[in-house]
Amino acid sequence: MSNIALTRIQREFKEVIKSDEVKNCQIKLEPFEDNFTHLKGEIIGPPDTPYQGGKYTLDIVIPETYPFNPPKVKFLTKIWHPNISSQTGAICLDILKDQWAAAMTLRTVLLSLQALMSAAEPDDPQDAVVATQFKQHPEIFRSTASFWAYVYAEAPRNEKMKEYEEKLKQLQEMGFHEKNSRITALSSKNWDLQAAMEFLLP
Amino acid sequence: MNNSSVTTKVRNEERHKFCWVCYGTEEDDTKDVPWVHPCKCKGSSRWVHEHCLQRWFDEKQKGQPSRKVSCPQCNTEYVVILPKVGKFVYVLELSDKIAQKLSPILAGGIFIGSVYWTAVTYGAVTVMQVLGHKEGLNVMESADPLFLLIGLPTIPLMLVLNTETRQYTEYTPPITEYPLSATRVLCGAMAFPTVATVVGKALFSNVNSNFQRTLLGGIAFVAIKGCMKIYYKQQQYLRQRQRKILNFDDGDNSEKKLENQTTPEQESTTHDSYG
Repeated sequence: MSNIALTRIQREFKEVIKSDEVKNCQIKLEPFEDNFTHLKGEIIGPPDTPYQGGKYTLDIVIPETYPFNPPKVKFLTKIWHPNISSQTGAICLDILKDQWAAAMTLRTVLLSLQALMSAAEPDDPQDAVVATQFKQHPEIFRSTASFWAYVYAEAPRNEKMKEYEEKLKQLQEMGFHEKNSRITALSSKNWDLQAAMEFLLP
Repeated sequence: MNNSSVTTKVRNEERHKFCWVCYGTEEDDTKDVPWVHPCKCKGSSRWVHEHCLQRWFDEKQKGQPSRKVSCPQCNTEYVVILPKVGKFVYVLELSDKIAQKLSPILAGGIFIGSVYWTAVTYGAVTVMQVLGHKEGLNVMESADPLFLLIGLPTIPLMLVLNTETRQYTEYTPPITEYPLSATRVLCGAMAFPTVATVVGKALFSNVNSNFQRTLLGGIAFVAIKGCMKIYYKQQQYLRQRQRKILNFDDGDNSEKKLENQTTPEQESTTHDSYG
């Protein structure tokens, strides 16, 4: 890593550790390895969203040319969100692409991601299936997103989840053993058991 | 954090310079390096190392030094002054710019020019072919040069346009018809005068005037070609009408299928002469 990138990351680290958000357990940042090129971030699902109470782990790779180019960030925790791929965790956010500015930091990136979780942009989607559901069936979108938060991000349970778990169990009894693909199929098909089954069949 | 503490923090940061690129402070500098405040930003985004900002410029301009760069926060366009250059470098820079702008125009001009001269040459050759070598030269020499410069290149143009319109107005039966191909139109049109001359020499050798002979040859060629084309289309149409669709071959009547397939094939192979 170039000298400027390394010194800057080390300085940013000091800033993040002192920040109010870390003190309030809103965000976390720690190196994956000792050399600061690969970091692990964590953000808490913001209140009044389906992600409330969930813990989301992020994979952050610092490029050689940091801070002149943005860090490469993706979600490691699976999430149901129009601007985040439900398969790969890839994020569609302008500041991580052409709108990056050298004055931004890992702290502001993590806070921007939290903001993205509470204000999705369905017209600039990363995951087209989720974006369509977000627009056409907002109610189903919200309950699906909170179900994913419960299953993958340790968010609290709610009433609706019993019904979803029941459908997952029915699919399992039909012989679909892979849990993640069952959840993806039902979520993509608005929890229609028949359609999800057809989706899963080869 | 209340309002007054924010103000003190901002003041603090403005006194202790803090670079928004490398996140270093003035105290971190190992040697005396220049700092700038190039935009409206205040607080922690006010100051930046000049060399850090230069690097940011390079990243944003991506090899195009004339591209404008603005502050990503406050959108102020950075003001850049390039050092004055000597006259020689100025001339070099100017000629570089002119060459860059002029090249596409020049290349287009060369292309159009070569197409034009090819057309003029073709026109002249056609005139000599149609009127005969000597008479053609005489006609061209006696004509107004301006008339020749405009008239000769219109010969190939008219030939192409003529072929094209003829193709469009022709009746096309609902059988195999190739879509109008530009290369075919061009080749047909360009070859027409030569073909007309050849046909004229072959069929009307007793006519003395070169021009009349070629004219007659052209008319005869169009007439013969038309007849053959009608005949060909008719045969094609009949063949299409007589086609049969076979039952699915499940193994036991393979002999019958073979028999049916050969009959229309045999008919067609003989009619492949096309003008």
